Amino acid sequence: MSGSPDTALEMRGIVKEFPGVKALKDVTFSCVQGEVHGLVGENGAGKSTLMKVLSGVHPYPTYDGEIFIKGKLARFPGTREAERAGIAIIHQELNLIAELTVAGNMFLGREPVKRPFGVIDIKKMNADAQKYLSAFIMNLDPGTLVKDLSVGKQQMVEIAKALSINAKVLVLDEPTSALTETETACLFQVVRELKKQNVTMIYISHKLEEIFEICDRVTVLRDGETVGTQDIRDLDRDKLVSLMVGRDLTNLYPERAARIGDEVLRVSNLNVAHPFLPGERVVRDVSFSARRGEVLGISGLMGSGRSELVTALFGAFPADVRGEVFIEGRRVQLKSPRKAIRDGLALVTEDRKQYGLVLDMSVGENVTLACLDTISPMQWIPAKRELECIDKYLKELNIKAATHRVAVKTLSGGNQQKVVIAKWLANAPGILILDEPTRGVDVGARFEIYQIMNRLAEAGVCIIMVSSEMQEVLGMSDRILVMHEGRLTGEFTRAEATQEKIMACATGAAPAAHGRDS
Amino acid sequence: MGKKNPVLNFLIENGMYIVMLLIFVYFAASAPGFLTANNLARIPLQSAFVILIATGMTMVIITGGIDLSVGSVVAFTAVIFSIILKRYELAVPLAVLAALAAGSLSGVTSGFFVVKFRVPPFIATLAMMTIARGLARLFAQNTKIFIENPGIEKYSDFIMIKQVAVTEAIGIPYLVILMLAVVTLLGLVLMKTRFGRYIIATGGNEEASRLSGVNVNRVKFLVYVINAFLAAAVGIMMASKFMNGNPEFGVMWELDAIAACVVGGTSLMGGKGNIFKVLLGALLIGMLDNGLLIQGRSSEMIYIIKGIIILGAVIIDQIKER
Ligand SMILES: Nc1ncnc2c1ncn2[C@@H]1O[C@H](COP(=O)(O)OP(=O)(O)OP(=O)(O)O)[C@@H](O)[C@H]1O
Ligand SMILES: [Mg+2]
Repeated sequence: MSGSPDTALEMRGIVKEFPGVKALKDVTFSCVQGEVHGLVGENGAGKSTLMKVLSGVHPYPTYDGEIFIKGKLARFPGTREAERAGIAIIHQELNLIAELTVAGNMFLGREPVKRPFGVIDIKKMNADAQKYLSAFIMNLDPGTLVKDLSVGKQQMVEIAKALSINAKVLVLDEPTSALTETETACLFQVVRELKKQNVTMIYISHKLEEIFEICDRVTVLRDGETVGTQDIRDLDRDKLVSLMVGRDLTNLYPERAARIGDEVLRVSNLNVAHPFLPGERVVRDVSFSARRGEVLGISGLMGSGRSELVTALFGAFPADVRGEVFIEGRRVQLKSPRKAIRDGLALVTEDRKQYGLVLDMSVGENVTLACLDTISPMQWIPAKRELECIDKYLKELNIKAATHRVAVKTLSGGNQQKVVIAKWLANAPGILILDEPTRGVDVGARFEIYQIMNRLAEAGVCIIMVSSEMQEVLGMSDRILVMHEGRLTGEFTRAEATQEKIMACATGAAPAAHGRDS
Repeated sequence: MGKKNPVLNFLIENGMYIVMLLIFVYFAASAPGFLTANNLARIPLQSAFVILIATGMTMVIITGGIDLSVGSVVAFTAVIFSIILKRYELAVPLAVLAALAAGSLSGVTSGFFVVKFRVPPFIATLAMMTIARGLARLFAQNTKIFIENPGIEKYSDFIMIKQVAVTEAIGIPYLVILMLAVVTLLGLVLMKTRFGRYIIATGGNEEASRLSGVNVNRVKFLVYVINAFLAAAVGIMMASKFMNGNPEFGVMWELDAIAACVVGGTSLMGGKGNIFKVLLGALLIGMLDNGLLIQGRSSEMIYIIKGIIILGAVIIDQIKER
């Protein structure tokens, strides 16, 4: 009934409404068998929603429109049926069960069993899991508990899980947002391998370089509508961005006119113990300082101790912390986040679902969670004052939500991230620490976040930004610290810094020429 | 979620009210004497003690905890109150203070173990439940302690308490007024104050709340103290009402309170709940008790039917979540 025989899937006139929002308005989308099809658009454009419709997460009668798989009308009442039709999805927000093993998660609900009692055959399950895991050239023990894995490794488990159901159509919703460059390279290898096996892939990402590297065609969504589908060869970065945001956006990193002032933070000889391994340290002898109006970037590979460093500064790391920290010349104790907030610190954590948001609470309640002390000095929360605060930051950060009353979990990923940032801005911190601030954030919103960072720096706030994205670190920082295995291995001014120099320090290849830890 | 079936959506959204209405209509039609002003007024009065406990329980459950000790705390404080009144010659304020303190102390103990030693709330309060019951029996030497001082009925402090427990103003029992006042107060605390917001946040995502500067330990500690304090107040009123401190007061009340919370839409996972809905949940259960009794059902049947209704209410809530 539809298209040419090599059309793997086609979605026609898809409409999906949530209470208060029309997430998809008449979307048309189709994929050729065996292609890698990019799906891009701003936060909240409806990319994830479209893919959830495709994969049965939003089951058949809850949307309007028609889906054809290989020309046949498909109406999935649930994800199981979609999987049976060969459609697998790796969700943007990880969906693993922390207390189960890697293999247990991969084969959840379809574990191999031993007759006659139906006991789970753990040996076989682990062996099967190993088969798919080794496709990533990564040594990950299938028997490891998922909760002991980094976000990056967890993402790999999700991918292995999707591979294990022999998907014909594989949806990857921002798979690399938490991966290291090596892990990303591995993933791309797998994508190319699957492509050879004629698997159709739909690839969602805000990292446009990836789209250009891996995709054959790309479809742009804007505000729940299809802007168009184009061959990647007919596009360049600027063209794609203007399709996405509906205007030109050439300069990725906005100019900043901040005056760098006095030192506000001094850290000397900070050591952080490993939370489980006695005698080990995740941060070793780190000393640095940061100034008012400065953007200090912290670069390094995953696991280099960057997040541990900033979490410890915020008084939130669950292990022994030694060393001296001075804020505005005053020695402070790193006792609790509560204390850190009072000292003028704020930390935008890297995993928003686990550490950033109370998902069931409303957008507004999340925004004011950290500043209720100031809004209601007495216990009573004055509704009007709270609303003013919420409105101010929803506007300032251009957060797209039907109202501030909807649960924050219904927002698109990028908008959730902006809510976390809003929460801290509402607290007017003197030192703002951002751990991966633009993870999963679209180009337009990313630009807005950079602008906000600049505005704060211009107002004299000291900004410390941990980021795995080299371009972002280079584009935004006045000064860059590089970490490797818990140590500071490099320090560069904006003028000195290059990608090569930073990589050399991050991999430990460079002698600690600028290191302060000797 | 789906927009396709507005009728079904409406039914699910308002499940509890509809079930309540159906039960009401059913009893009105089938239980003679149910639909009289006198009987209807009895329902909130009969449920008042459990409701008082359920309000505190709601807070505990929203933080992701549970408190199994409150029924025992009712007995424990009733016994202490009666013993002091009996021994120390009409020292009513002392008796009230001692009972409230003893009750709160049990909440302090549960809270302390939950917060400091990370004992799961179920275990910590289960221990407290048996300890408080044991202490009540020990102090009362396994009998009722009668408050029998000559002249106590005329002692003004005591009369005040007793009045709350048994008499009425403008046709509404004082106890119901007190219950509504507490429900309103704590309902507002939960919805409109910083402490309430922190309770919900802690239950929703403890780690994110802690990282936002919420003193989650204090929040978790305080809800157990508040709940035990309410149980102590109930214990005092029970003793005044029946003129004795019975170590067997309040058996299974914690379960009635939890049932009211659950029927009222409180999620045992924490992070969600509304005290006013819990009030309705408790009234629904109270109405069920009352109506079934009038119909002349045996107590076994009442238990079974109540259990089924509780299950049904929770299932409706689960569907709503999807
Ligand atoms: N379960 C839900 N309930 C209510 N609204 C929702 C729900 N899921 C998505 N939305 C809304 O639908 C719109 C599209 O969201 P969607 O998650 O599809 O965006 P996205 O393009 O994937 O964005 P991002 O790049 O940030 O992940 C948003 O406005 C979002 O708030
Ligand atoms: Mg998305």
